[in-house]
Amino acid sequence: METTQLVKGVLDLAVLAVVAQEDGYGYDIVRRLRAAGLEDVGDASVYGTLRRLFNAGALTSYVVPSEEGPHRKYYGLNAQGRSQLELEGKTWRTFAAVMEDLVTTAEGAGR
Amino acid sequence: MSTTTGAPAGAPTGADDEVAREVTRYVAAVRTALADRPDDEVDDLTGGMEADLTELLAERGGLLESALGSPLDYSIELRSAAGVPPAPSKVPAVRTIDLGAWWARRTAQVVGVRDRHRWLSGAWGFLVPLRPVWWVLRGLGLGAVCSELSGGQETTLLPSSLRGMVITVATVGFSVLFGRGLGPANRWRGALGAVLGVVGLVALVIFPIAARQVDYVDTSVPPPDGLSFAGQPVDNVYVYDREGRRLEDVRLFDAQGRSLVLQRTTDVVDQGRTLPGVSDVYGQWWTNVFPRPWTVGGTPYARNPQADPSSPVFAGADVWSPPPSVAPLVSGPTSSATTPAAVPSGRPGEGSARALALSPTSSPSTPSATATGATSTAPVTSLAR
Repeated sequence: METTQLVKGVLDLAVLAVVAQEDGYGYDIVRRLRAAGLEDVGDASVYGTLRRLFNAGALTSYVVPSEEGPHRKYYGLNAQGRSQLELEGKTWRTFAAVMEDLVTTAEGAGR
Repeated sequence: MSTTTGAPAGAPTGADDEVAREVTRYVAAVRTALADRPDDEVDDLTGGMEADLTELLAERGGLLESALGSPLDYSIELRSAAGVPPAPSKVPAVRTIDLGAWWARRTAQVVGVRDRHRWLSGAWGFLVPLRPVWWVLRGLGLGAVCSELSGGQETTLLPSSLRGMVITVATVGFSVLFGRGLGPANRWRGALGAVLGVVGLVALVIFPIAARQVDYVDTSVPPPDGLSFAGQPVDNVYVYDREGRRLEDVRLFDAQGRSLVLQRTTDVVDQGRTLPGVSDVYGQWWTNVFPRPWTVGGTPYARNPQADPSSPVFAGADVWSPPPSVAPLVSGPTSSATTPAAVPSGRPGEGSARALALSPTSSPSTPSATATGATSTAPVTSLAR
């Protein structure tokens, strides 16, 4: 199964979850998603998702000056983002449980 | 915060410049691909991108295309994830963007191959510090092409004329500045660099070959014709018999029966003088009669070896004045063909004469030049010129 397609559907939740652990800038969040196991996640997809969540009001953003090189744009979770994470988390668990049941039942019937 | 790690703080300045140029190039290309959106939205979408890409490059190296795909693909993915409408398919805009994207994809392919093979990566690492040398060579090649196209006569990479030098200095300077990142970092830069590189490389190969061919033509020397001795044309021949008396009106032939003639003859004719010769009793005109009575005001005529061989001169000091007699030979009472007919004469008076050493041969019986077919050479009737 193409995991890239699966990741697209849950990227909002994944980004919210990573930012909830700790504030981060774009590439840092990409790296943490990959370290968590989402190795197929695309850089531009994560950046776009961050911009969209920010514009939707789920994220805060602040610029951290860098002593050398360009400034970094950090993202953090605000109250709206936290409730969105909670809501999407519940949706995901329900969805995952349904999928789990489906697959387990199918595998049991096949044996 | 543990997330602030990874900045390339320890990298050398040259590498920092390199990374910054690469990042600037890529970000500019992405912003171009988003150019249909309002400026503030483009700023929002690409805000902080420089810092992120700098860190990415510090981690992975190479070109950004190998990690992120082409700027166009990147912008499409970014639009999709950010909920920004895709680019309108305006034909001219898409066309130019596609050209840049095409170049970026080719570059990414090459970089991908390079990064997959360790030995290629090693070779690349060895070549990168040599790039300034390539910039100068490329400038020389471009200079030669510019000189040639502007009607110059330069056939070498290194110019010899002032005009060629000015052009070459300009092209080398431009090549080095271009290599160091002169000009806007947009999608045309890479393509222009490729074109300049190919033109420069071809010129570096073509011009030395062309110059060598010209040299071959210039160094060819025609072999001398006529009678020559020790590599020099012979101007006159003096013959002394066994008793040491100087002989007059001796006719000389070679082993094929051909009359021996002097190279100077044609020069004298060119100067409007009559070809020296003597007629025999049958009217046959002989030009192989020696010694040549070439004197001007009593001074023997000869070529000046130091002067241009194509312009005969009348030299006095360099020309030997043959004495009427030299010391007679003591050996060889026989006069037949069993002994050398002529040997280097005992001692010429001035000592500066060169004696001609002829191989012993029987005297020619029937010279081919004899028109009447007589069995022996006709006696000369007139000594007058």
